[in-house]
Amino acid sequence: MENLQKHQPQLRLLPNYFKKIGMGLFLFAMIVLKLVFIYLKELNPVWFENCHDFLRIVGFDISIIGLLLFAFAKDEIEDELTLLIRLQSIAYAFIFVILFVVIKPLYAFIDSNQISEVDGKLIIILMLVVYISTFILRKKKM
Amino acid sequence: MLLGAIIISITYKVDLGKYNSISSKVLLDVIIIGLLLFTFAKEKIEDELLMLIRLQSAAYALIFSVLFTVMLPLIIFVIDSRDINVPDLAIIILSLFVYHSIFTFKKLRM
Repeated sequence: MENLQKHQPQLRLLPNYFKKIGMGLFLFAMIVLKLVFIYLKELNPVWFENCHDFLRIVGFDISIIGLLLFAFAKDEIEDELTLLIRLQSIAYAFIFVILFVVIKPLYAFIDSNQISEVDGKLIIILMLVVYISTFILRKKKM
Repeated sequence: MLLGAIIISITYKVDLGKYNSISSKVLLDVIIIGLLLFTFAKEKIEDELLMLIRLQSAAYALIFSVLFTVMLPLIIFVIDSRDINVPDLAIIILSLFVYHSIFTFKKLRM
């Protein structure tokens, strides 16, 4: 029995307080870094021109990591039902993003005869947002 | 679908790395849809253990693709000082590939 339990796969999630840390990081990246972006552009345009790419990469990275921490933090009550909801939400997120990636460039090609490419970071953010929103909505409906 | 697309690409010598041609784009889309169908097809025996393995694999695939998307532009920026976009199809194919490898590995180990 012990041996069976040892081989039973478990989903190791982060502690519950990572939800707050994740949301804090996401809001920090979205609000504070955006404000820094705007003020830096007016105050010191030369320095802004040099750091623009770096700030953009760091801003996106912090928001993505914040969303990831929020997505994989434990709920207050973790049982088999929440595991099932998690699985469903991840599946929906994958399906949604794949359909988005397949359909959007085809639509753009039909519309303007150009082959467009979606930024990978936007895809990841979209996937995490769909996962989190589906998870919250389904959990509330239960 | 997946095998068909790969066979077509080999037979007609469509360069899948050439992102700008419509033929490679459509073939990559077909490969992705094939992988998606393969991912969400039922196993012969579907139980709670398999559900947990699916969840674990999907979570690892998501985490891996997030880390890949975060780290790759940062490393390239540090090395080469330029901002690159990670292609969307590369992320999707990578995450589905990671999902399948973990899922198969864990299933075989059970």
